[in-house]
This record gives sequence, structure tokens and C-alpha cells, in this order.
Amino acid sequence: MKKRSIILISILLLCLLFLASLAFGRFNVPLGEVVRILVDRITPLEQTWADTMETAVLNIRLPRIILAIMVGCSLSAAGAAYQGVFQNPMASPDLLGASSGACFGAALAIVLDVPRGMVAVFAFVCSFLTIMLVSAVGKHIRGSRIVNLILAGMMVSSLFSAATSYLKLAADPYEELPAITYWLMGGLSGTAMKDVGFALIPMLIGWLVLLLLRWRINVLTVGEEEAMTMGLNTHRIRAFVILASTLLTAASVSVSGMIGWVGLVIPHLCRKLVGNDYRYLMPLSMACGGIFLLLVDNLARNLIATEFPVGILTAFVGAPFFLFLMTRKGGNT
Amino acid sequence: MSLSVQNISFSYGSNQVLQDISFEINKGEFWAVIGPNGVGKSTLFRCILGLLQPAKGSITIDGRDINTMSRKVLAQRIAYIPQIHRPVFGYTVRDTVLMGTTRYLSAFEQPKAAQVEKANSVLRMLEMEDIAEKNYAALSGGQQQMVLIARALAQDAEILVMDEPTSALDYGNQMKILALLRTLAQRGYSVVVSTHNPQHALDFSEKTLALAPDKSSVQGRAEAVIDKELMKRLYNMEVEFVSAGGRKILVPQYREDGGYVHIPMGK
Repeated sequence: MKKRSIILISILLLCLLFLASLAFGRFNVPLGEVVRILVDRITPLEQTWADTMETAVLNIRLPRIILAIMVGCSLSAAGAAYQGVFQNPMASPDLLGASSGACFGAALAIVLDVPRGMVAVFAFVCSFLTIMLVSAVGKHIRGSRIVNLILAGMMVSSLFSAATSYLKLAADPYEELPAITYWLMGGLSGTAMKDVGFALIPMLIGWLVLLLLRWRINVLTVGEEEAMTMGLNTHRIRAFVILASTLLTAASVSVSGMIGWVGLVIPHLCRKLVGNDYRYLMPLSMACGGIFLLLVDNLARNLIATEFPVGILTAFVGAPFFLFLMTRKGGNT
Repeated sequence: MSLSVQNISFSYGSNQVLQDISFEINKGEFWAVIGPNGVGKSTLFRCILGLLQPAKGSITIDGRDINTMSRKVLAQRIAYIPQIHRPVFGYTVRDTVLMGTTRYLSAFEQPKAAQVEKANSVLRMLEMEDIAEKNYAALSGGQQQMVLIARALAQDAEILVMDEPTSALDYGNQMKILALLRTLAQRGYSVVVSTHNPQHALDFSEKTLALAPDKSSVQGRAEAVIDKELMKRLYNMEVEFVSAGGRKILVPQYREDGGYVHIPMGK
């Protein structure tokens, strides 16, 4: 099959899944009514649905579904980008510590008892500062730039994890500690449109930069010096890719907590489908990341009577799926 | 076109590898760089490619210092053909060659029809169209090296630099690659290769630069430069030369009893 058609099919699938997810849930809304409710927002239709349906679809399901797609898309794109610039198929978006930074920020915000809306802001800022710190530390180690960044990432990451543990220790065990723990588990329940709005700008920038640089990422994968001799300013390109991936990861983690495996599993699935060429791999990873997280989040909100943290489910689904991908014969990687 | 290396020196910390090296490569010349392991052949190449900054001296192309050129401008003048190595991510042969055209693109651009046509024309010229859709990682060593040459040709630079092109290849492929490089030189490319086999320099190159462990260097026509005394200085080897088919053939002398070569664990 042509690579372009695989991407088109994945986007089509995402759109269908989007509509189906709006209809899917404990409170039943027929698919036809979902479409009518959505169309009604653009051109008013005669109301054939109950008001409760409109509330469920527009106020509860829609923001959460949009955010699931955005976060899945971002984590997957960031993972694919990191694998390219670090020439390492095992890289994932939390490689440099963006996630640990965000977790520390969120825990700090909860312990400091800041307004609930500010938790995401704290997480985002801390995540970003972590990557700045990692780049600054990485520059001062001697030897290969790439290995240094990864080492600095491991170091800073573990420092922030320890700091988060300390905050948990110091937190009030009845209110703050459970809040931190649930936040860290990752989940999309209770998503409102303002969460979507908060994450939208950094994510749009991140997606755009990664899509535009996708050919350069191809050239970077052959190695630092070879890429330089082909006319690439490798330091600058890598800095841009890391910055864009950090925007995506920081925005994702700050609105949804720790959601693992998406950034590792989905790019690998896409490599099997279209090969390693980022001209196709990047857009396909984005679409499939959205599909994957939306599917898993549908499970998370409907599997059992209470809400299931989606971060746990992505690991339950992602880890065996990754094993299946890696042990299967054939493929391009 | 001329690439001029003037009095360059380079050290890794306190370990000096290049000292006062000068030479000039003109259009259509085929240069071989010989010398023992660790003498600085790769370092010299990395300086020429702008990957390392020599402590002293200058490297200019048509009078312009390469340090004043951006990566993109330098890539228009010099292309590097690396040794084959296992890639982390495999690409098709066509896409690998297409990477060579990156210097035509601005940072946010993807290759367009003109670049794809450039890659295709190089593949046609090297008679590699039949493997164009194969995965680079799945090719034989000889084919992989051809792909990397194709990638450098797609870059459209007039100087080709190749570090030990033959070290990972079998005998037939070594000859094929070197003969191809010589043909490219005859077509107007300036080619610089390093090699561990002085016979390759005799067979293929016009000019030879020899780097000796004592930091001295000699250069000139291959037949003139490569002699008994140089082989002793470079490799601590006794050699004889014979003439066959109008070529100067190097015959290494291995006799232990004559003490020509020191062999550990020998008598």
C-alpha cells in the first residue's frame, strides 16, 4: 500500500473514532444524535435530543476526547522525534526528564495549595525548566554531545524524582498525598475546555516544528558528523527538535499526568507500517498516537464502574503490544 | 577549483597528531593519503571537512577560508563519503541518496521533484536503479559503499573526501570502488582518499601524501614518493619493488630470519 494512503486511512480512522467515542459511554447517546448535536453548534437544527445528551456530549465527553487525541498525538510525535535525534530506537519523550520535571511541578503546586487551575501551569513551567537545566549541564560534560545530554537527563531526572518523593513525604497524608498520587498516575477525567485551551498553543507550535523539520530528522539519524558534511547545522536542528518535543511533552504531562508507553510503542508501530522515513513516519505517528490514546481512554472511562487511571492502562496495553511488535517477523527497522 | 591546506597543526590535548601539513589539490586530481594507524589521516580529513578546527594554519577553497563558510556552503564544495557502518534506522537506497540533496533545501523544506530527479539521475548513472527501493541496511557491503558514493554525488560538490574506502570491502569491491573514484576524478571531481594499502596509491592515485609517525610528511607523484625508504619509515617494513605491466608493484618482505619484520613471540 502507498505510504500516503496509510496516513490518509489513519486520519479517517481517527475521525470515525472521534465520533464513535462521543456516542460511547455509560450514558447512551445514539450516533445520529451526536452528529446532530455537533452540527447544531454550527448551524442550528431542530432539537431532537434530550438536554442531558447535549451536556454529556459537549461538556463532558468532547473536551476529554479532544484532549486524549492531542496528548496521544503529542507524546507519539515527541517520542518519534527523540528516537531520531538521539539515534536511539529506545528513546521516549521522558528521556531528558521532561516528565519528572512536570511531576515535581505538580506535586509542588499541590503541596503549596495553589488554586487547582494552577497545577498544570506549575507542571508545565517546571518541565520546561528541567530541560533547560539538562541542556546547560549537558554542555559542560566532555565528550559526545548526544551521550552527554542523555546522561544529564538521567541525572536531573532522578534528582527531580527524589524531590517529588520528598514532597510526598512532607505532604499532608489525608488531602495532599492522595491528590499527588492520583495526579501522577495520569488520567483525563474531569477534563474541561480550559485544559484543551491551555495545552493547545504549545502543542500547535510543537507539531508544526516537528512536521516542518521531518526531513532534517531523517538526515540527523545517519550520525552527527555525516549530517554536518551534508550541510546540516546539527546543533541548531537538534536544539529545535528537542525544544519542540519538550513543548509537546510538558503540555501533555501538565494536563494529563504521567502517561507512559505511547511515545515508544506508537512510533515503532508506525515504523513497521511506513518505514523510518520521517516524511511519512511523523504524520502517521501523530495520527496513530491520537487513535491509541483515545481508544485506551475509552476503556479507562468505561471498563469498570469507577474511573481507571489511563496511565496504568497505557502500560497494560502498551507493554504487551510492544513485545508483540518486537518479536514479530519482518518490518523495516 | 583548488583546495589548499596551509601549515595546519592539530592536537588532541597534549597529543599532537598533525604538524605543519601543507598541500594543494586541484580540479580533477586524485590524491591518496597514506600512513600508519594513529598518524592523523582521519584527523586531517576531519579538518578539511570543517569538523575539527586546526590549532594553526588554514584551509581554503578557491582562496576562501572554510571557517568562514556555513555548513550549507561548505557542503556545496566538499562531500564526504564515510565508511560503511550499520545504520540505526534503515532507509531505502533512493531515500539515502536523496539525503545528499539536503544542502539545496532550507531548514523547513522537504525534498521536491527536482531533488528526487537529482537522486534518480545519480542512481541511473551508477546503474543502481534496480536496488533503488531496497533497504540500505539489507545490502551487501559493496552495495552499501556504492550507495554512500551515490549520496555524495547527489550533493553535487566538486571535492570528494573518502576515509579508508576499502577497509570494509572484499578485494573485488575494493578495486571497483577505487576505479570508480578514479573515473570520477577524470570527470573533473577532486578526490582525496586515505588508504592502508600503499599499492592502492600506486595503482590509482596521481598524487600521494604520506604522513610519517615522526610528524614529517612527503608528497608528490605516487611512483616517486613510495619507495623502500618511505615504507620503512611509515610501516617499519622492508619492501622490494617489481615492475609488471608497466606498473610498480610493491612486494613486502616477510622473512623473519632476515629480521625484516619484528614479530612478537618469534625467536
